[in-house]
Amino acid sequence: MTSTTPQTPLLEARDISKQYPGVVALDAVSFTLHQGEIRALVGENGAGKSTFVNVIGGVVRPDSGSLYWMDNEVHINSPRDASQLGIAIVHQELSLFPNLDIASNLFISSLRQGRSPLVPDRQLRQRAEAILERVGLGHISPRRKAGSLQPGEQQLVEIGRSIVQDARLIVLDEPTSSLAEKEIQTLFRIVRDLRDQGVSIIFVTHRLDEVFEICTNVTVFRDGCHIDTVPTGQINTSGLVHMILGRQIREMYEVRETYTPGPELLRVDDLWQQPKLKGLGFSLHQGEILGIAGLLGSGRSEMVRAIFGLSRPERGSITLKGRPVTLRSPQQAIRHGIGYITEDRHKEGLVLSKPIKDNIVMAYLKGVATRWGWMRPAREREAAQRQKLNLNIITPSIERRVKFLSGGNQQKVVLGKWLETKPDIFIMDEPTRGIDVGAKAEFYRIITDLAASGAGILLISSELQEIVSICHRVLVLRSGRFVAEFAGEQINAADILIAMTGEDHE
Amino acid sequence: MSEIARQQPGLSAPRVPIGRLLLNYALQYGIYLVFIVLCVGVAIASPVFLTARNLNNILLQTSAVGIVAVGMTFVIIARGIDVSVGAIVALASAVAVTAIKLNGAAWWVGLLLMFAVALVVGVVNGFSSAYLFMPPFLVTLATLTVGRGLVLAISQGTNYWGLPSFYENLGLGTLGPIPIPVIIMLVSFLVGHLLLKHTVFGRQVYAVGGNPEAARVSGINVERITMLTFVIVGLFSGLSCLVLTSRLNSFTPSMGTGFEFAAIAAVVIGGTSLMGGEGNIGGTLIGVLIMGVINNALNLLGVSVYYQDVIRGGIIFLAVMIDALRNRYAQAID
Repeated sequence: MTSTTPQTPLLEARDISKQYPGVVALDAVSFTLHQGEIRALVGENGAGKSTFVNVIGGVVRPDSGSLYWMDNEVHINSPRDASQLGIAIVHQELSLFPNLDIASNLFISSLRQGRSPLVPDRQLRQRAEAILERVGLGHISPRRKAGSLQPGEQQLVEIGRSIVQDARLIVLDEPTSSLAEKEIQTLFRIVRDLRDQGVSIIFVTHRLDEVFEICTNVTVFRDGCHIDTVPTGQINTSGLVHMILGRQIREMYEVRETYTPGPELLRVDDLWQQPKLKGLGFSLHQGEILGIAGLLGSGRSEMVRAIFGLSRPERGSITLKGRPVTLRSPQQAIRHGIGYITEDRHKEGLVLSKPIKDNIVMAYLKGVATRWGWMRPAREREAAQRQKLNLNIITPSIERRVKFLSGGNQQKVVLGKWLETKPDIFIMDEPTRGIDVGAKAEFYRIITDLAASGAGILLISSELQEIVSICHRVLVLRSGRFVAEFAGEQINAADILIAMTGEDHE
Repeated sequence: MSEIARQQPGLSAPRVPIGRLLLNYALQYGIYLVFIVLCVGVAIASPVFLTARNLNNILLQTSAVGIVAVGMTFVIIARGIDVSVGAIVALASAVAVTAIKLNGAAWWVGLLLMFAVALVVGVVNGFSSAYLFMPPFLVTLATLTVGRGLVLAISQGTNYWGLPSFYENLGLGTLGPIPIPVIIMLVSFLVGHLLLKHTVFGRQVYAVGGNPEAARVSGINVERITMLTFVIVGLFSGLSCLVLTSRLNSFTPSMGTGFEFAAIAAVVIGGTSLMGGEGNIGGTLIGVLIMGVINNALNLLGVSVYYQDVIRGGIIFLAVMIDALRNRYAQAID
């Protein structure tokens, strides 16, 4: 093995190209990464980031181009090749075995030690404890099933797995999209530790603030091309956005519009569901965007699921437009004019194998059928076409199956589905998760427009910037209770963050 | 928002390599090709094949399984499976025929009993699968076993011949040149097609099979739809029982044996995915016809009974393989 100096790149890619039917995913991309570097990789969805990561990880074979690992040409033909070189990839979708305990997950590829056919459980457990300590999970027993961990904790276990593999390069593919602010800080601390030990990190992300917070250099991909790599100290947010989009956009997010409270649409009182919800109460008004800020596990999703009739609260009352109601099922919630954009569009939002059209009418089949339940194809197409234009869904046809759309366009299909039910209350749980900057800006526009036209919007988000930018009022949820409320000019990221994490205001 | 709207790369006029395209079409529509090639091949090998009498015979012999396959398509699209259909056919027949032969019940009482039995088993299967969250395969395996046991208990293991003229007329009668059982099968396919493709219920079946969680959030009563698919396959099994009992003009305890696998095979050969959410009734019709033509050819060509099952099993194997390949190579060429 060649000895490395800081001048020798750890990984070098030369002229990597990859074409899919109809798409040039990577167009002669060259890329150099040094030891101990934290490199941000940014770009819109479809810019080629994931393909590039998959090439490095041995999941995708490039059509042309070559890879060099410490100045030696290498062919990475499988994930196994990658991990033998010392490349570990932590994917957005977690790949732990939920049915196995943490120790087994950490050592899954090296369970056998020596010649014994038995798994040395005790020894593994001790080593697992040390690894967990390093990734900030020292308080968790390695005997726990991986499936019982929060998504954020699972992510840290995955990073632990790359430590076990002695990785020299760890690729984190949108690691923070499922994490709340406090967990992100833990993650960053671990990333810096790893860097100090000489590990290189590629950090794929949509959150630009994180680029500046943690990364040394930032690489921008656009349309399958490597646009530029610059030190983070030599560029600012708007410059970076310009590079990502290829043109200047005036402002990243819609500025909060002035708002005068309308009549009350939704009122929740004393909502209990042990152990997550402990007596929640709030009200939502016409035209209002009400933000719910809270860490993962604070009860955010449990609260809206209870309101939407997906779970039964033990106690609590819901009042819609002054009338008390009981919502026992999503059907009832929809009938009362509530729409719910779920946190995970693949799991609960879409039927991926079905066309855009079928997905858009799915929550309001009655509206495109006769009284006797007979589908009216013309109405159906009309509805899909209407939402396609209304939301600017980019697709050659409404017959295109949803799985072939980009994340942003998929999310627009979910929103279109709810718009067809004509709700006056929207519950949006992480509506812009995992979608690119341009589509995000479109979503903020759409959300503010909906509110301006009289809808009430309950916006749950773990992106503080999002909450701060568009909400009229913000409630902070911590351990199943509302602990703070901010309105209008009082809304600022620092105060919200402090309330979320429960540190004392000084 | 148009200010931010951008054309995304690669969405206009995708260029797919021609080989890939052909493979895709072959996997998507290959089954029709297989059917045509099969028919041409058999026609060349045996001059009897294309006679009207033989074609009628094929349809007549597939009618009972074909009717069950219509219902099976619903269950499989909704991610379920029902292996109790053959037992439902036998049990419904046992109850109806013993009521008529031993207790002197009128023909219409027998008819009602047939459908009542089919409905009850369908409801039990559906309720257990949908509301008690029991795995459909095991639930229906249990009802299959119970059903077959009840058939023997009720009939004491004996056969009964000779039914009221209603059954004989239905089983042996024709409408023009076409046997009534065949008409019933074709109408079943038509009804199934309309229900699945043109009604809200059909759309809900696809949604539940494609993604139950998303269906639930979209206000679809997932449990009710799942249950209804089992009730539907139960009722179609009742209809199948009527056709089979009438055609044989008798009851035998072994009636309907192997129907479950014949029906599931036809559905899968017809392109319905066992993963749920994909499939259609037209495909099932082709699947049923392919099975029918193969059975017919095996007889016409005098293939030993011992080898017939080997060949049938091989066909099912191929169909499942095509399904697996299709799932793997599915491409965006809409």
